[in-house]
Amino acid sequence: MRADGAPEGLRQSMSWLHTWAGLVVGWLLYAVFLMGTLSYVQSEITLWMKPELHRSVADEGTLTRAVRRMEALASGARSWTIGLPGGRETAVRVFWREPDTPQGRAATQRALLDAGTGEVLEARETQGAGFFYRFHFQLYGMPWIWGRWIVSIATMIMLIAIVSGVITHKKIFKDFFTFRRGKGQRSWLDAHNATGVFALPFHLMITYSGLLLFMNLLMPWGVDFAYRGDRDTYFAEASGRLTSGAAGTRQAGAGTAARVEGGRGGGGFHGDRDDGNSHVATVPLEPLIARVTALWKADGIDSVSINGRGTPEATVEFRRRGGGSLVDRGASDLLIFSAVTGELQPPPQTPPLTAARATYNVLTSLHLGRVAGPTMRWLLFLSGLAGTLMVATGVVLWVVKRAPDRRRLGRTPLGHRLVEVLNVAAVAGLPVAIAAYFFLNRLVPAGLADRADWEVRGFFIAWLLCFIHPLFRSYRQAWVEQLWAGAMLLALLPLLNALTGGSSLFSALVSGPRAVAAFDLVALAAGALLALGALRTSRHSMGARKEMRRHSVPSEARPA
Amino acid sequence: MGPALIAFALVVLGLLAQCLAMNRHHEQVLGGQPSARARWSLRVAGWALLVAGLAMSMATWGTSAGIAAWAGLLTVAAVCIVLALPDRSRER
Repeated sequence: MRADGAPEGLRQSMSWLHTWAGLVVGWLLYAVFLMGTLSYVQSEITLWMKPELHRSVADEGTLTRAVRRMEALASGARSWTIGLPGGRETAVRVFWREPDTPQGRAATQRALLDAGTGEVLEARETQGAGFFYRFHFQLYGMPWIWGRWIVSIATMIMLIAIVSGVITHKKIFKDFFTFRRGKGQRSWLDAHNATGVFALPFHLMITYSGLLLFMNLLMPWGVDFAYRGDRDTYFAEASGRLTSGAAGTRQAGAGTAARVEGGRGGGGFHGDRDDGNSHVATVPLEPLIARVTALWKADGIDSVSINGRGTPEATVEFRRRGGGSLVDRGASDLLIFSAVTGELQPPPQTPPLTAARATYNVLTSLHLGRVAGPTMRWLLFLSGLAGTLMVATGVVLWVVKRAPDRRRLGRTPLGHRLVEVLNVAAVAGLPVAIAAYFFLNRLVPAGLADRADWEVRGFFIAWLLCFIHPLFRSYRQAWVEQLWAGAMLLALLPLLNALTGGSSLFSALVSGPRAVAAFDLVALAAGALLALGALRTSRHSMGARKEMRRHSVPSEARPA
Repeated sequence: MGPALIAFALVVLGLLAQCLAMNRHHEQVLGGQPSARARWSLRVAGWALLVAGLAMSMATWGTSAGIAAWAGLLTVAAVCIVLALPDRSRER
């Protein structure tokens, strides 16, 4: 779209595509990236938001205590699962199903146990980081299918923006290590390029796998055609539950279904179909626990399930902590014993993995942060942050680049003004809203009815205010004020945590939980980063260098 | 944490060598232009270190997760190097 009507080269047209594709979904993508990044540490954030669980500390006796508690808590249950706390959570998660309950998740009962005492813990009602997690792929306050479509379309545009961006910013590899500070538009471009190119493999992976995760929603026709509309059979075959047409009732999927997924509060059950009234006694679990513990010394046990309790076919299933491979989505070892005889049973058969399925598994497990140990999780978190900053610097650059136009015009066109308002409200406003969400988590009384809803409402009210505020302030003032607001709120979170029943930063550093200490430290770091941005922006506006070119533009906020 | 740190060190050194193989950054850090020979050696050393970092990652995290972790280490290493480079704002 050249003004002089001359023919366009590939780079010009790609540049146009990159600019406008990036802008129209930029603000949404920023939210998706930031909330998705927070989802990598979902368990840690949710733990912080449930201070009632901070003082639960696991030791060697935790599993035995939990088993004993379950015998009282779920004495009549046909099946139960105990999920032991790993490094990311502190409490024991238990799930059980009473007999004669309907199939499905709704009938699954759940509770949290203190790892040190086995007592049932009552944590406050909150969506925790699950709110961010769900928002990042299906938004909020609309039918989830709409939200998923909107995010998917934005993701497709993101993919276009990445590819056209590599072509547009032609010098990203030649200028790989170049970052010029304090040079206005040049610096913003360098920051945009750096955050883009440094984590380019991550950006491609996250965008493409994001689409893969929704492929059955976005492109159902191939499956519908090949399976003549029988999607259930497709899903069963695709997940390996059904091989060569024979309906395997309890194959490899069994353990997976009962598996407790960190923070997501999963734990579906295979309902035991036999409703015989006979009650067969089960063997004591302690010797089995001792045996498995000795075997899996280094990794330890992730979860223990009992299925078909009271029947002759009852089994005890031990799942090992930490599978290492992305190819099988981090599936880990299983040991299955007969609960009646205590004998080890042959392991379930895993169907062979096809190349297409393996590819899908690798990409989607990376996206979901499965398998990830602490180092890997930090790397994913930091890469996600790079993506967030790439989008943020991109939308800011749009305004910076058009400063000469506004100068020529002598005013700010309505379109520019709209972008300015949305930039501040999205980039600086979202951290304010997130911090407000954490504040409400601690300030709304723990016993209040619908308190979880109030946290979410507070989040949206804070965000809405961040959209209204820039309407009445200049672009620069709006940036400075919202960046300061975010910085203050985030920096106060460790104090709030210590004052409202959480494990304080000091005690968490000394005696755990480490996840709580990490949350507080990251909040401080994020607050410092926003404060730096605010300082640079305000100093620039009052600074001695009064170049017109930089008028009304926060030109010096550094990338992380 | 040990092997992960070694992998990270290899990646940082590899990227640093790549960085110094570029005229602009060589001048910025060490002053003066590198000879063609020095550029070539730095480039080869850089790639060798990066590949060694990849091997270390794969040995630490397994093949599939190792490749992903290596990409993540590259990201962090590149950010560290860029922020550590002297300010070039007065040039150009």
